[in-house]
Amino acid sequence: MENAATEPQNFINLIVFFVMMALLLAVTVVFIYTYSKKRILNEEVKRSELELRHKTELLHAVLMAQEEERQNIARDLHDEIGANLTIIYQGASRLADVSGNGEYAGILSLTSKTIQSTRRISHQLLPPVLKEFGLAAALRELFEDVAIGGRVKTKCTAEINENGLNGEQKLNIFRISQELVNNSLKHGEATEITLELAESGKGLYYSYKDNGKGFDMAKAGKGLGLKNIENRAEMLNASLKYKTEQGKGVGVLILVKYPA
Amino acid sequence: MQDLIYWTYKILVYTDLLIFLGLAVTLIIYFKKLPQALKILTFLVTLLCFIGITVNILSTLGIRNTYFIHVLLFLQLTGFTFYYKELFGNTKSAIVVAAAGAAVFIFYTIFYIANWKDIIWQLGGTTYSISTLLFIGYAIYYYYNTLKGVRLPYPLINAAVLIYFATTSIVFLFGNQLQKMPPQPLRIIWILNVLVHMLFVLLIFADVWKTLRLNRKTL
Repeated sequence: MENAATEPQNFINLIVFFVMMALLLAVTVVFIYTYSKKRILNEEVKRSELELRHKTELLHAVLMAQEEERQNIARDLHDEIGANLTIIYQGASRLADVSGNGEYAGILSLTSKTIQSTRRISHQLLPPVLKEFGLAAALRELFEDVAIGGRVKTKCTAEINENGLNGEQKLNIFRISQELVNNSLKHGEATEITLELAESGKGLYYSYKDNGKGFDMAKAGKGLGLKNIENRAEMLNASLKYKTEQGKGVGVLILVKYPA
Repeated sequence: MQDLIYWTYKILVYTDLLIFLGLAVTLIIYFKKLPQALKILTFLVTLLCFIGITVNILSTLGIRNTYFIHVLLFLQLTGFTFYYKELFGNTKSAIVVAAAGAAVFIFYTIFYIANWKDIIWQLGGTTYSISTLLFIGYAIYYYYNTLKGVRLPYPLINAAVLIYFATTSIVFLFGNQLQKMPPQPLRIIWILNVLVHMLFVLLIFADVWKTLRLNRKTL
């Protein structure tokens, strides 16, 4: 009688044991899978971080090479071509004085214009004011140059302590501004441009606006100009936001964090 | 002690049914917003829930209900095959799933036509266990694919399928012998089964909830 009662119980116990083992096995499989998946994901994250770092380093190298090349061209223009043109101008001027002939006037005028153009291009490539007087002064000069002729009204407010920025950061901010101004004049046909550069908490607040034609971000794609701005913002480790619509001007907001 | 086990079992069964019904209702309410795979799961869950309620009513009334296991078998086979096929999309894996599901379905159809008189009152046995093995195969195949780098959604639903069918296959493998056992000592097995089923439903619920929250964020 006792045997008959314990037999089904033993059978049930055995099934319970098997069920528990199956449950344990299934849960173990799920845990092993979750752990493996997590490891794979971590490796993927590490790989993409490495790729991103490599991309940033490459970008940095490209931009630095570009800057170096600009410096070389600017120096050559200023020191070689500019200097030679000045010698030519002085020579031509002397010849004009000796001969007392008016036919040198045209040559002198053309040489003088070429010297000015050489200086202007050289300064655009590497503004000496940026190195000598800092970012705020260079930006003010850039905006004053744009306003010459009176077609475009500009306003540049730059009240910042530049000690938080290194030379490379200053140069990147300046190049972004050059690119934006160039876009406003060339594509936007703007008549008013404003720039506000101010301290904001632990960083720098950069706000650029124009009243030009604007553009549709979705349709515009990314031309070389916008890509350049994006790359430089990336180099600055800054956040970049555009606010623009067809016919409603362009607004650009950049927040540059100072290194902790 | 027997009373305690009985009431524990009953409370668990009704709680499980309630959660299952909650899942079915949630899926039906948000049906339009759900991706295709979850729409298939909605049909399956709703029908399974309906069967679960019917089986319990019949059991309470003392009417034999074991033949529902065969309905369940065909329903789960069709539902999970379509679900996994949809999950794998237009890939070779989807063809593998569809082929495996179709092969087992044809086998069962022939088997049931030939033996329906003998097996209609049996509680699953090897036939049900074969289909649960197929679902376990689907779940393992899902893991294999994701570890190979294929991005597949609903990992919790997959874990639910694996855990539930791995345990339930053991219970139904011995289903015919268990039918001959006295009901009281058997209850511990049904309690286990209900607990695992509850986990199954809760895991599905979690993934559905995650999907719906994500939908709301992207809207």
